[in-house]
Amino acid sequence: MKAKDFIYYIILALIIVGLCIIASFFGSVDISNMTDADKYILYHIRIPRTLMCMVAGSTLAVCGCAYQAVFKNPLSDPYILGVSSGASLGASLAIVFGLDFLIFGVTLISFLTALLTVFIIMKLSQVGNRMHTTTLLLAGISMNFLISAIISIIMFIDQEDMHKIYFWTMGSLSGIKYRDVLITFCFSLVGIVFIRLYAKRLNVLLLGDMQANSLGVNVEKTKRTILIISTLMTAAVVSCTGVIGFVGLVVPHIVRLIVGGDNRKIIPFSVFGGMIFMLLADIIARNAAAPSELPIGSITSLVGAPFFIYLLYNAKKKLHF
Amino acid sequence: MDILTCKNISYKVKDKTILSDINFSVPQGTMTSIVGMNGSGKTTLLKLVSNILKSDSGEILLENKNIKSYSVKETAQNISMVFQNNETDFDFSAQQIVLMGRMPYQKLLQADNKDDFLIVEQAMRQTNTWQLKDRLINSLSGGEKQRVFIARSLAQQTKLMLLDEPVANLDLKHQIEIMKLLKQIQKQNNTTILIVLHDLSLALKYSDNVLALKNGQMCFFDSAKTVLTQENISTLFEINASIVGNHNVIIDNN
Repeated sequence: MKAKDFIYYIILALIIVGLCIIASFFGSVDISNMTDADKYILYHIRIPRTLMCMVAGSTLAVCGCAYQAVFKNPLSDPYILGVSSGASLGASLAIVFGLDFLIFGVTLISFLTALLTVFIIMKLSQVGNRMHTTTLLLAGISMNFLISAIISIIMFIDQEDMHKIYFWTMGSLSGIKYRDVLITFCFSLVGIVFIRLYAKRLNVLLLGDMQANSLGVNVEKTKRTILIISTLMTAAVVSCTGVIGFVGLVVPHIVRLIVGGDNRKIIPFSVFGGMIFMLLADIIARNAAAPSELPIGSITSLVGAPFFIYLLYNAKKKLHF
Repeated sequence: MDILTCKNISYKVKDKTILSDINFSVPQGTMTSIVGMNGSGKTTLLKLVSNILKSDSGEILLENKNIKSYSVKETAQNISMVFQNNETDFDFSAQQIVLMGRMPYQKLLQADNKDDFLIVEQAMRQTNTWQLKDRLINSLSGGEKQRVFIARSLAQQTKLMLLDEPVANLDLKHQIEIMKLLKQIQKQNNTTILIVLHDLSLALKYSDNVLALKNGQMCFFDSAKTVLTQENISTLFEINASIVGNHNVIIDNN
């Protein structure tokens, strides 16, 4: 590891520690007296929530890196591609059919529907050997429309569970328990380590399938493996936090601007970057309209959507339109 | 010694025959140009040789071993490829691109070692791209970019180098620069080069042998001077061709 990278890691780790302290101790309820009630809020509400922020942020950011490499498209992100929505559809179905009592019930169904969404997007957006930006984005948007329509109908039919399902579509970290954090952490840790191991191959995939093949990469197998792993990671997060958009778009882009194009660096830095982005979003979500809480998904979208527009504008300039 | 032998190669997409009954052998350390009209099957032939596509019948032998028995990694250790289009939306430095040429020799967890960096430096110096090593690939001109990808091919240290229209988008100066570079690589490294070219003047001047395809069939395969005659070119491209001056310029009489 170069000295410069090491310094970056130290700085990022210090920022994360600082944000964790702010996220744990500041909120709509003042816990500075540390009464029993305050301790309960700290240990059973704020700390698990802060931990979940870090796990979800780092996971979604790394998933963004992975999707961008597989689709060879810098605008790919689990939310924009509709994968998160696909996972939330699974979560909604699991609730309606009463499978949410199983430990992995929601995660498993979310994973299956998210995987189905990825498969449909791939089929829709592939023109010859390439997946064009326009078709990929349109496929993602169409899937998002379709899935939100299905979820609306599910909510209309099953009004009893409406609030639970609504939560999944908006993204929220309230009510997170240590058990949720642990389950998501296990999926994320394995997934992030796995994707980091494949970082070099992801670099080569970014040059195109044929180039990757000529450099000894088994393209189809690698893409399939990465897609399954990153979709499972996305589903694990969405099944606990609901749909939180744009983390996988914003974080890898900013990281890329700082450390360059090599995924071997982008992935570990995105882990840290994702944590910072989500912690900041959560602090804003909890404090901006205190004592009410804004959905964290709307905060990340408030940052992510203009960022997405900026990237589209840049892409347009590159094409001289 | 022949490094590459193609025996009765045929390839179909659905019911459409793209290549049929292709037979040729390429001696080691030579440059062979593949010429022919658009859609004649040139690129498909390169993809078959590079093991990206699998032939329907016949066999391709690389050092007397059927190419289909090579794994993707083994193929990449023996055959490198330079493409016409190297566009990417992601920015890598020129050195990072050339370092990718070492991938076929690395295990999943293996980082680039000193030897890899040394081989990359040699490849970049030979292609005169070392001074560009920190530049982003998308900031380079077409000629510079193509030299970087040829450097990557060199870093791959393969016996056979395939190039698919590597000079198609370049101006005349850079076309000649790339062809001279390839000739130099062929001679210095004893690399066998198989290159798809549209410019017959370049094929005539720089290649040892020429393989001419028409409608998926092999019309000619012989030394460049034997294949690229006025009559053969007229047959191949359905024009009235002439070779003017010192067999360098080919024009249409009409």
